[in-house]
Amino acid sequence: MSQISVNNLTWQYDGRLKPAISNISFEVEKGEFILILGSSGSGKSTLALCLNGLIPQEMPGKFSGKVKIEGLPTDTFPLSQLTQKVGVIFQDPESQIAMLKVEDDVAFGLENRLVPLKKIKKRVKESLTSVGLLEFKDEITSDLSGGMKQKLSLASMLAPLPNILVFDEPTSNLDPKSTKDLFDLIHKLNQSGKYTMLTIEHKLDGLMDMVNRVLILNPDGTLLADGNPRNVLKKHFLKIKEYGMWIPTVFWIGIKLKDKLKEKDISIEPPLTIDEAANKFKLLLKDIKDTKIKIGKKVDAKEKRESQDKKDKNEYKKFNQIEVKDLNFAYTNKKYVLKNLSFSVYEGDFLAIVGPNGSGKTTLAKILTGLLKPSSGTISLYGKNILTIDPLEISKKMGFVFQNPEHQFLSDTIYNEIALSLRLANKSEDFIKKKVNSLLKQFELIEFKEKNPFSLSQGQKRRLSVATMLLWDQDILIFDEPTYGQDFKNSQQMWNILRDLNSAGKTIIVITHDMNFVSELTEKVILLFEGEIRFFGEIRELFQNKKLLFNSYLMEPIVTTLARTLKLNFKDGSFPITIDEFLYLIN
Amino acid sequence: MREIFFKYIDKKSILHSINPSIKLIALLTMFVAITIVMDPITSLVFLLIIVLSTKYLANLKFREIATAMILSISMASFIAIFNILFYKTNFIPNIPVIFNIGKLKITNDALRVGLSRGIRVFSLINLSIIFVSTTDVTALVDSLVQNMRIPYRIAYGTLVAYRMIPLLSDEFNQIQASQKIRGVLPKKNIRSKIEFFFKQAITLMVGAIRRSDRLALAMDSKAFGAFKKRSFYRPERVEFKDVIFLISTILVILITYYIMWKIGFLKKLGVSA
Repeated sequence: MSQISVNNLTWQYDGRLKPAISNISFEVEKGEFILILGSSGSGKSTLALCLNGLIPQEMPGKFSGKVKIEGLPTDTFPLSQLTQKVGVIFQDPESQIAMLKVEDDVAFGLENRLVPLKKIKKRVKESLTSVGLLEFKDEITSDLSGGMKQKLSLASMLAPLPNILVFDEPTSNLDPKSTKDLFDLIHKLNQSGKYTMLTIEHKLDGLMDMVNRVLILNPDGTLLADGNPRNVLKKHFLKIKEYGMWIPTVFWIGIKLKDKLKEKDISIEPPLTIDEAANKFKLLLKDIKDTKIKIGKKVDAKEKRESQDKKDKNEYKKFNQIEVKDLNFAYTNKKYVLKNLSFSVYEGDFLAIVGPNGSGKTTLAKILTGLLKPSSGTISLYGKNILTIDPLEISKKMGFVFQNPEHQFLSDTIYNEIALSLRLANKSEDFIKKKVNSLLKQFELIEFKEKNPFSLSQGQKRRLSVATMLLWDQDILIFDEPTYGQDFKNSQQMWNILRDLNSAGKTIIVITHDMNFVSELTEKVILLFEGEIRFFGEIRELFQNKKLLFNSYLMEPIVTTLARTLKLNFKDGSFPITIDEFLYLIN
Repeated sequence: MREIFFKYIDKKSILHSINPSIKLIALLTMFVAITIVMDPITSLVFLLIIVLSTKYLANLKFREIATAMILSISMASFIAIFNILFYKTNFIPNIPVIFNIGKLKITNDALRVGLSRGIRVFSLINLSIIFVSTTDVTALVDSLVQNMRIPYRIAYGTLVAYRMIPLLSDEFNQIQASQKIRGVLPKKNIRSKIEFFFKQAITLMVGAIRRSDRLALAMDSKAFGAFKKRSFYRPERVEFKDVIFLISTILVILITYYIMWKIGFLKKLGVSA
């Protein structure tokens, strides 16, 4: 008997016109590690909720088919026992921690299941030990970092001794280091052989070596593919690309390399993991070194970068738009969140602010826009102290797109949402109509213009929040995690939007954890660590400095890691930081 | 806004060790005892008892509760001053007056009632400060469920909601910032401000409802409410020392009443003044 058996599963939420998932069938054997792929809205999370019985037992909707966990039907068997067998770790740690103290939260699920005190004590200790949080058992849960909160959620799920663990994008709120830590933990649990695991995840690079099987959902919630990762990715690559799902970076590089080498009659199988990629590429490069392929161009990295599309931009007369001098900031509790920051932002800059969670990135952005007042030091905008400028004037010079797009929404339709601030500024309806419609077109929202902003998909909400920011043709735009929680397609779309804005001469400042984004798009970077600037300069320089990255809890882009193992570098000794550069060096 | 006036201070003291439910009963008893005393001198004696307990029973230092004290002092003085100035006897024509402030007459009764009410409010708030400072919220809920038979679904449900309050306040700040940076500011009149507040509140609610849906799923995953009973990670028991504590509290009240009555200050108890 399979451990999980899903048979013709269809589920439709009440009030929806179409099923979220339909006609899904698959079996899972003990000890498997399954990756579930699908674009946003394809029903991945819904499938996760079907596995522990929350659907259909706790959600209103139409259920058909059969799901059995160790032979027990999820639609009728007591939920408390199903949820004991199948632990689900959700995306948002804040809404799955119940108690005020760490150990109490782990104990909570056991108390509810009437486990005797002696056993609770033992299991709380074991679970906290296995996620490395034992020494924090007396801490207040809200004081924990995002990464620690997710580890706590995992500990609370491990305590009832489940056999199956389901992860629903548990790393999407986490910085690169915490993500790696959580993946390492999942690795360890996987190796213990005690658990069957299913995971929904878009950061695939640290995961592929565990995955023994991939399930892919179509956008309409049906099953596209089920099987061995390599076969499935190869066979359905075009569909995956079309639907905008995430795929492992090395696989992506492999595909591009394959295309490039096709004309030379060399074929290569796209790899799945970084180790595999390194080995494969090494062999490839060795084999053909003397014959058809030349490795390494005799160019400096800088020349390559500038030869791209940035040529005309250097002709801008650059002048300094924002100047930060000796900035310090503390919230009321006297602990300095930002210490002694000084830097300038020039017209046309594409600047990234990176650093682990809690290093002060968002606080800095809030100060730059005048939302928070510095404790000491000055911020000048076009040479004028920002504290002396009227907030309305600031908003005409500088736009700020917050992490959660919903926070900006005030209106009942998308059209009105964009029109809102224009109306408040007493612009004529004609002018408003022209402006709003052109923005709606630019952001592919025109067909939804009468819909409520809250009813949009994640990607659309994001685009709407950007659109509402561009009304005044501001010169400076600040984005807080613009690609957070989005599928590949929407992320790409956002990248393109930012690239276009920057090419049009706007200054872009991006706060992000997405190192691929940083390496592909931005030029300069500020690395914040515990409130101090650890690095301010060219992006390339940062990614060459492995030690600094490590000490600052950051990761270099996968291509750089790969190039480093392959000793593939530019004339000046620097390693490529984008996929294009990487491919450029193989010729 | 994370700085709150009242919070638990993790220490060791007699009051820290008392069962939270018993402590709550003692607190309520003291509340009633203080409220029904109308004589300012007797009220002062109770205040003295509270101040001594703060130091010796609760082991609290003044600076640990300083922010909360600011609140209690300002509330108490407001009530005292308001009553002294505007107590009803001040407005009876031809009544004997102690002194005048401008056109306001201040009577003997006004002074007595004002002081008494001020002292009592000060005492009540300080009692609450002692209670909150010495009682861990989780322990209180655990004890209410285990010792007072409060249904656990309600008690822990409330506790989970309590955990969400700071998150909501953070989120509201985020929403306000997001609006401000758009240049979407309310007009200067009150109506526009109220409208604006409601729009922001709706945005907050949408997020809160979604979060509570997720929270409900997470709670179901933890089998919350699956059974009538539950076991307890932190057993709370009513011990002999707790009973002694409660009896002592009642004795202290009665003895104080008796002495003050013998001396002649405390003439009657009631709620009218």
